[in-house]
Amino acid sequence: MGPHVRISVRSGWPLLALFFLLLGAVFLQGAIWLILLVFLGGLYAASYFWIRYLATYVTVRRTLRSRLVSAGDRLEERFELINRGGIPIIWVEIADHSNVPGYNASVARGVGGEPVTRWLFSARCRQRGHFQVGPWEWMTGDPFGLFTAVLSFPIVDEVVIHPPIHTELPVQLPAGRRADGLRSREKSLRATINSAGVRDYRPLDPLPWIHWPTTARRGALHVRQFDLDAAGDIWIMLDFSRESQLGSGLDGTEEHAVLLAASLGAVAKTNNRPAGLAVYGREPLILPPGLGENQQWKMLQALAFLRADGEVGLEKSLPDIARAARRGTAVVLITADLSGAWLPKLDHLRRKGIALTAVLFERKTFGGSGQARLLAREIVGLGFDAHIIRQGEVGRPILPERAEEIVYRVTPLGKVVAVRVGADG
Amino acid sequence: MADYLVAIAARRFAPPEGWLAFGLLLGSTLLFLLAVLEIAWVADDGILFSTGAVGFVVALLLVRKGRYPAWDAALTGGTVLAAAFLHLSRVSPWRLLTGSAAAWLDWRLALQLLLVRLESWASEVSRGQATRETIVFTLLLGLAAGLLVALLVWATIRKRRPLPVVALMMVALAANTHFGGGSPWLAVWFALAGFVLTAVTHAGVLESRWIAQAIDYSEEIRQDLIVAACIAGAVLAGLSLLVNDFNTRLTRLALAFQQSDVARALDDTLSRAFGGVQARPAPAPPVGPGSGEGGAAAPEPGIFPRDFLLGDPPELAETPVFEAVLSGADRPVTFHWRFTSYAIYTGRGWLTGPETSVDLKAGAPLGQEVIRPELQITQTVTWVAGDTLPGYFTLGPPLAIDQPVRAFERTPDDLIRIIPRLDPFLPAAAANRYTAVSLNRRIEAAVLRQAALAEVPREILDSYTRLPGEIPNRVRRLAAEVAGDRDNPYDRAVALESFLRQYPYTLEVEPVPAGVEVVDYFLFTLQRGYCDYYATAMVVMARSLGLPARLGVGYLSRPAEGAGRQRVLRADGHSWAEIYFAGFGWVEFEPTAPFPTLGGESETNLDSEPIENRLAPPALPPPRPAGPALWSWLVPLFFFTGLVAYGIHDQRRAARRLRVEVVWSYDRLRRRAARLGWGEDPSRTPREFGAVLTANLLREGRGVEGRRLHQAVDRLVGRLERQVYGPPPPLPVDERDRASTTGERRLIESLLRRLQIRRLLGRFRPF
Repeated sequence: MGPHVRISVRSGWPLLALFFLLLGAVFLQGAIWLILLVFLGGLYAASYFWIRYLATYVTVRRTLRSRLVSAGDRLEERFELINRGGIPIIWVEIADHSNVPGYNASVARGVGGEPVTRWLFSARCRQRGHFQVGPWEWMTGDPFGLFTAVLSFPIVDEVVIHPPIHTELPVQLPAGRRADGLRSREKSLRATINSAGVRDYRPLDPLPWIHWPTTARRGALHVRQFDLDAAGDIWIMLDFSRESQLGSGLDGTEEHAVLLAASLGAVAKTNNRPAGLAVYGREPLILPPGLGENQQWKMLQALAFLRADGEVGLEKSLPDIARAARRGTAVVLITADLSGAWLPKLDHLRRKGIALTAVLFERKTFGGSGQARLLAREIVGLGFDAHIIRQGEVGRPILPERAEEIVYRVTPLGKVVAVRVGADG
Repeated sequence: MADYLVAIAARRFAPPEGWLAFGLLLGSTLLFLLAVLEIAWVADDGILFSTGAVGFVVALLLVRKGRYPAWDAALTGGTVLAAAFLHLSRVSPWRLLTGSAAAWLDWRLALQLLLVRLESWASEVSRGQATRETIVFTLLLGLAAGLLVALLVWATIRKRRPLPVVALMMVALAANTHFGGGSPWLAVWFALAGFVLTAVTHAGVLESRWIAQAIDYSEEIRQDLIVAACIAGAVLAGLSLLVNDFNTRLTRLALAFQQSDVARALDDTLSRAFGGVQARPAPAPPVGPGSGEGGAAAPEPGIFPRDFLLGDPPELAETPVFEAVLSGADRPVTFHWRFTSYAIYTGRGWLTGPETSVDLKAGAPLGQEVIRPELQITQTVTWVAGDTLPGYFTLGPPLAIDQPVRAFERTPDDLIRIIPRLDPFLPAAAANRYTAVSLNRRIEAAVLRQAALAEVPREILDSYTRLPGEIPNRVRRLAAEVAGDRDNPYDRAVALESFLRQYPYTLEVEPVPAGVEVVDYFLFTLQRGYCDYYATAMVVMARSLGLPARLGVGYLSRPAEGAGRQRVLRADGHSWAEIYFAGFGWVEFEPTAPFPTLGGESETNLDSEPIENRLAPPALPPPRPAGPALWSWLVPLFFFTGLVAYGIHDQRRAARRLRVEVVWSYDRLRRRAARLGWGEDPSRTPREFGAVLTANLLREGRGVEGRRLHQAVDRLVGRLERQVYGPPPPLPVDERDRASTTGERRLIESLLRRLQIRRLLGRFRPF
């Protein structure tokens, strides 16, 4: 859809004066009437043609650098203003109606007579989700404020902001066991406890890996070769029932859970562990475990859209995951539900040989009540693993206080006000 | 310390909307008032400043603090109205609060004069008569000016949209200039200032919105807007004046064509072909009132209009007005055929003021006690001017007239004039002939010197010592200097008379300029004139000394043609001064240079030579003439010069503040280099740019001193790196650094410019 140009007159009352001056010039035939008529009429005419000209010959382009970014990263756009006419642009204002939190590319610039003006705008993304950049419009006016031209661009760019990833986690990935109990055939690039062979030395191999007996025997450097752990799939399970959530925004349990899930998924990918996602929100989301970067992106995109608005509690979801998971699989359960009503359902997991690591949010630190420690003790007593996470323990995804720049400006009426500009861009 | 206090005061009292907007608002207001003042619609046009100032200040206070628009508007209107009344009644609140009883007395007299003038205007209008009283117009003018100024302040500060009011004021100024015949320049200046004010206010509106919406904006936009508005306004002003000039040329061309032979031949043909068609006669051109005996100039109404004072048309010719036969005295002691007198001086002309009339039978005494016959003179007058007798002319104060009359007086026993009572049964010839007996008493100077001012009746003093407030102080000072230490009213009056008679007499005078007080203009600028100027000046100067004085008008007595017969012509129209002496009534004085003096000791006759040598020598020579007034040009010139200076200063300051000198210089050089194709890579560091610039200049430039160029570029780039990437510089910024940066920038820029010109010229090289 192309831009829509709208030119409006901001001050129409002087036209009445223009009419009286015209009457005077026609009927009274005095020089002064003609002089002032030309003066005031010329002002209107010049202002109108100025604006008309700018609306015709000025174009603004807006280009989004990337449509997939992580919360905490910068969303960057490039603006290009092209003035094909010779009339200078005193001011141009970009009014951005994007709904990306913390992102507002609105700006007012004095361009002057430059034929091409470019500038970059970037801001740190504050919140995961699916957002729109645009619609937007640019407007300009004459020096006297008589006319305003507004060019509206109803074009919208879709942006997906996925949750950020933290590598320093207070929770370790559970080991799990492969269902067949055999060694993995894949070789590890890191040192593991399983070493099943040797190979020729390659440059940059760590020296501690050198297997000296073989080296001595064969007269050439050889290093040990490591096997992957015989670990099983990992299911990352999020309890997204609305009732169990506490807090809102970045300080709430929802964002902490998403952040934790994304980070665990990243760790799993790094460790070459198949990871899957099971979320019980309004619509159950089941992403079977898989390996590689592609799986990680799938998880991140899924997490970007998630909202903790489910009606299903752990009492129902735990049996589900027990059915879906294979034997020997590890499940990481992330929940803020400390009621313990779901503890009996863990029996389903135990019966299938599924290892569970429960990640419990300490509700007190999120403004709620309940003792995570007691529940964790009970879970450990049942033979599973449990971790307690307090607010802020997994790290904040971004730092909002650094996301904005505050400048002090003097208003035309003399007041000094603090203005947040640029979203630190 | 003083600097500190000034800075504190400037910050404390700085207008919130900024000095530039405030200055423009004030300047626009002043230009508007000056444009109206240039016309000088009324004598007391100083009211514009009073009401304009009050409107400005009150509106300024209310637009910031007021919350109820209707109440604010009512308060502003009421204050402006009160200011107008206070101005017209000449009251100074400061004087009243701190002053003496004399201040209260002055104010009481002035207020009485104001009320009398209002009453006079109301009675004339209610009777359906044309009035020349300007007090109500003055009041309305002051009100309109005050309210328009207040409206401009309100529209600028509260509404942030002054253009509608500026446009309204432009229409008002167009009407003012058109109907007042003024110059268009001040109106154009006002419009220009108003447009710049609009741009400044618009910049404020934009910035406010951007701040409110947290939109990042460049503060240079404000300066760009102002500069663009100034340029656009100046271009439009020039264009409008050019269009007018073009229009005038077209009009002249049309007139020239109309006077050409071709046009005349065409007109004749059409007249012959369509002679039966009767066109409506064109209205006669407005004839200004006469300028005295010569009618040399046509001043605006209200300024010494001969037809106004006497009822005669302005063409003062040798046409006989009346014939008179005198009897009963050897010779008259006065040379004036007195008709009437004026009491109220407005600064631009004379008004009769309120009066009462009484009808008297033929021969009834006219308010004077019985006088001995040897002090009387009888005159039989035959009105020959053709029309009906306008009133009775007598030599000296009339005692009785042989016709039924209507006598007008201001206060009891203060006769002003006498007019005939209509008698339908009286034949026209008889109605135009009358016999009057008047007082022909000669009063010795020694006797008049004994007359005390304190014995003058209160009513006379109240009515005949009033002066308008716009009489400049130098007129009063001059009168006091002329009077010197003379201690009696008579000597003072004679001193004034002899002083004024030094001024040369002429009928060829230019009209009194608009907005100028007549007596001041005559005494200090014009310094020549005819009887109206002399007589008015004497009355005003006498009143400023506290002497009750009035202006007498009538005809000058002609030399007798035999048997006491004389014929008076229209060209004999005259005016003189009359001063009241306790116990003797009104005594005539003749301040007009070529005419014989009168007064108590006069013993002249009509055949005698002028008797200046009999008067006391004048106390002072006339003051040196005043120079032309340049204020109407200097004020706007100073204003706009100041505006431009402020704009330049502000722009430079802003440039320094926003982008320090070195960054600005670097940007400038980069732009200039980009035009030569050297600076287009945005990823280039300043140091790299400097290297490219130096290398290219050394390669392509001629006569470039390499070492100096290297040094300049190195210093500039180094300073830029420190400024941009280093820690903040200590305050205050070293001025030497800034000057050095400017020098380096200019050096490099001049080289770049030279190269650019050379390239440009190279394009046009034929081979």
